[in-house]
Amino acid sequence: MKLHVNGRAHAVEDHWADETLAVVLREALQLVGTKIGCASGACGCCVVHADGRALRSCTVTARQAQPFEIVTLEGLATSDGLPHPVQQAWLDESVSQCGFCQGGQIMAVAAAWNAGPPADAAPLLHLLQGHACRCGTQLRVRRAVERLLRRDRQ
Amino acid sequence: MTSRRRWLQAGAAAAAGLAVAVWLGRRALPVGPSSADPGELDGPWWLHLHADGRLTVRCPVHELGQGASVGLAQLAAEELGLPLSAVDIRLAGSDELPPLRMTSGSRSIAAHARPMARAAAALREHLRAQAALQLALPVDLVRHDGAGFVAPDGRRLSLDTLARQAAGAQAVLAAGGRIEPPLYSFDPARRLRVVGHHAPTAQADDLVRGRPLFAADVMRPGLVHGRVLQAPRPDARLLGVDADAVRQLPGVVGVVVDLADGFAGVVARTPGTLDRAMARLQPRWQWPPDAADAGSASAVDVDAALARGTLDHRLAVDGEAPAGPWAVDLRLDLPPLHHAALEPRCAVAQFGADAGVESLDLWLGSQDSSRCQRAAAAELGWPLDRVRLHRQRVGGAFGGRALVDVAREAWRLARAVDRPVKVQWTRADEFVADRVRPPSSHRVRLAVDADGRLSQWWHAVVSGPMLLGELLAPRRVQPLLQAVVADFGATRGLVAAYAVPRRRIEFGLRAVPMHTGPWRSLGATPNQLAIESAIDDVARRLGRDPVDYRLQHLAPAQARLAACLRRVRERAGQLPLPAGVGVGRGYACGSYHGDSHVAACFDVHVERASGRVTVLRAVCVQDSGLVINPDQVRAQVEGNVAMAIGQVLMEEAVFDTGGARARVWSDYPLPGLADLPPVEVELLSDRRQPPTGVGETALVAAAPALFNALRDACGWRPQRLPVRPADLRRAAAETPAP
Repeated sequence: MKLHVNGRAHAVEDHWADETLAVVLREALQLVGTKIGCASGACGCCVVHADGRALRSCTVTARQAQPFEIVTLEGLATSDGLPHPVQQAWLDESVSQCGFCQGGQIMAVAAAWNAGPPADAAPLLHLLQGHACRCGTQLRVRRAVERLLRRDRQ
Repeated sequence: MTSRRRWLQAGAAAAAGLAVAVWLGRRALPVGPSSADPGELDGPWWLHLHADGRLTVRCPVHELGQGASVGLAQLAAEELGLPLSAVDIRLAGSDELPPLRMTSGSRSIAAHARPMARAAAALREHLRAQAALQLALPVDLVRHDGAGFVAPDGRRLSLDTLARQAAGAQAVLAAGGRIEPPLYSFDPARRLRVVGHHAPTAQADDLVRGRPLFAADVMRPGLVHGRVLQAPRPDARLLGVDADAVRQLPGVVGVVVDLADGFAGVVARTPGTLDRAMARLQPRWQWPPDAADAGSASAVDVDAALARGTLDHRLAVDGEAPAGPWAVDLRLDLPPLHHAALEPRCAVAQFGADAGVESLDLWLGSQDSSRCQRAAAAELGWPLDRVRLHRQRVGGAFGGRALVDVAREAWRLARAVDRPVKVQWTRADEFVADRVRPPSSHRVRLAVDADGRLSQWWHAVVSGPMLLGELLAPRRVQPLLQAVVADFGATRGLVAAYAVPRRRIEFGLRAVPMHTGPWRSLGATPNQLAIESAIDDVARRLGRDPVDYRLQHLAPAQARLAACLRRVRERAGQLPLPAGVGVGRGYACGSYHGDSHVAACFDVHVERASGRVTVLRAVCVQDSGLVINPDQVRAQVEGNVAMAIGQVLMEEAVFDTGGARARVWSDYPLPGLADLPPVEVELLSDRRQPPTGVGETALVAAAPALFNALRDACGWRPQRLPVRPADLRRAAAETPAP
């Protein structure tokens, strides 16, 4: 079986085919930036991009993900290694506390951002309401999104 | 083994000898929590100055997201005159560090700041002495600036030159350790370059780029996956499992059953196989038939307990027994709470051999890795150094990673199948086996004199065990311990800061049929919720301003707390409360550990028809002494505000006879982005005061301030938390519209 992840094809042993994409990215491909917080699609830690759209990777099997171009948090930075604007906004606002959920939030915002930055923060914030964070970084997440939009206007 | 030897040899002979003595002394202790604060011999191991002039800080606290590692690195940088960019923070393992204190109780900075600064200052003074020798000058003529040491005539020796010359740069500290070096970080007159300034958290870049940091991110050749049955109640006994049905499943590597130990686990090639295997294991549990039903509130009922007489432990008794009449007679019941950290706990275990001697490597995210190491060594019957603990970042703890069984689960399975095993709890495990904040029940009765001053204060609490339970003692010993000592976790903050002539403060512990343990701020927030509700209700009843009324009862010794309260009112008052029905403002203040002070103000709106609560604004003013990293202190305050909203408005861990009911993430709703108001944080930083705890402090004022705002908005004091829209709708239907 093959998965297309971060711009290249990865061979995956068959016994992984019916595991969730999140598990296979982590355990078979060792791309551990994708976190598994709930394994039921509820917390948002495992968001990856599938053909550019945000996907909770614990809700599909690796087999189902075969047709897609998958991008994980590790593949988000620009080709010269600079952080993606969303990653940079997260760093600039010192969002992370424990940091476990932040990758999923960054990927969710980045998918929307790559599709065309929205006129205001509302759609991005609405999207993030479905992401859990127990440390209480919500205020900084909001600030990071606002900073991202300011950057776009400048 | 080899690296342990390296660790010991790294020091000069005298220092190493002393360090070994400390090491052995700690080893002899029984396997309990690692509660000893670091001593002055520990500090030197935390620092390593490299030949290129860079400094490695081997962080002596677990990194749970509280950001303490960067604060400690800032202290080292300040003392050595290094920019923070020249400091690398390493979450070093047991090979490189003496045993660590458990990271809990907001003690990361409070207990480690001074030893860290002292170690760095000792290193600085040692290098100054070296420089003086080479410059042929008396030491006090050699000035220290950021880059090195300078003679009056301008000759200079750079830090890296000196570091290169100092073989084993960490060991020299012990020699300098006998003289107290001046600590720049704590000198209020000194202009500080690193301490008190913003610094990005450790691993921030790694986090946003998805680099491996957590225990589950650890990969080993030949790694397989394990999972162990979690007992639904502390008194549950495992009678049997259907092991044969599981062994036949394709992908299953092994099944380990030890009924005497209540242990049943499966090892498989993939996590998905474990899901199928565990579903077929069909465990048969049994608990005492007369055991209290966890679903009923009867176990923890303060009035029922008081009806039988006084409670077991009295924390304060002044004068005659309180007698009323009561200005306020308040009952408040608080439910158990889940920790609900986002990272399901995980450990990776691998057995190996060093020169023919068997050893164990454990990768683990925990608040107390040293305990896990000691426990494994004790159970294996090995000397401590044959268990190597690799400390990983923890994805949220909040007290819930103080006891971490997953390490034992991983090594037991790894031993059985002779392969490296990764055990990561499922979300269901995280609910079923969570050591929840125990339920508590409070009765507060306050009387006032003719002038309206508080004359009597009677606070009685009944709670499930928090620290005097599984954390400290085996099950059989717990009742004895609990009879002799009041649970010092559940009673934290129970004695209110207010000066009242006649007090009776009593506490009773009740066994509860659920796993319980420490939860952020322990009993301080539950106790404060009762205390700050009661005083607020008295002020309201007397028609007094709730802030003035509190200030009137704060003795001069509480000046720092009073300053927080005055400032929060001033700041909150800059924005008037929006006009309209159902809008309310609430205040509260409190101290955590008696030395970290905070006051909070919340504005809320309660929609009468729906009972929907909107938190409009939160203001927190905190005084935690010297602030090392203001941005991280603010982050902790913000996090506490989120948790205050959760526990006042949403959270309740629900139990029935079979244990915790929550299984999936959505069973335990938490505040999301839209539930958080704008939060203003102000830090009253007094550099003459030592740094105190910040991880839990704000919660002790934020939760009651929000509760008081609700009371202000809807004119009704609920008797239990959380307060949900249905409760508020019911209350609104029973009271006339204002």
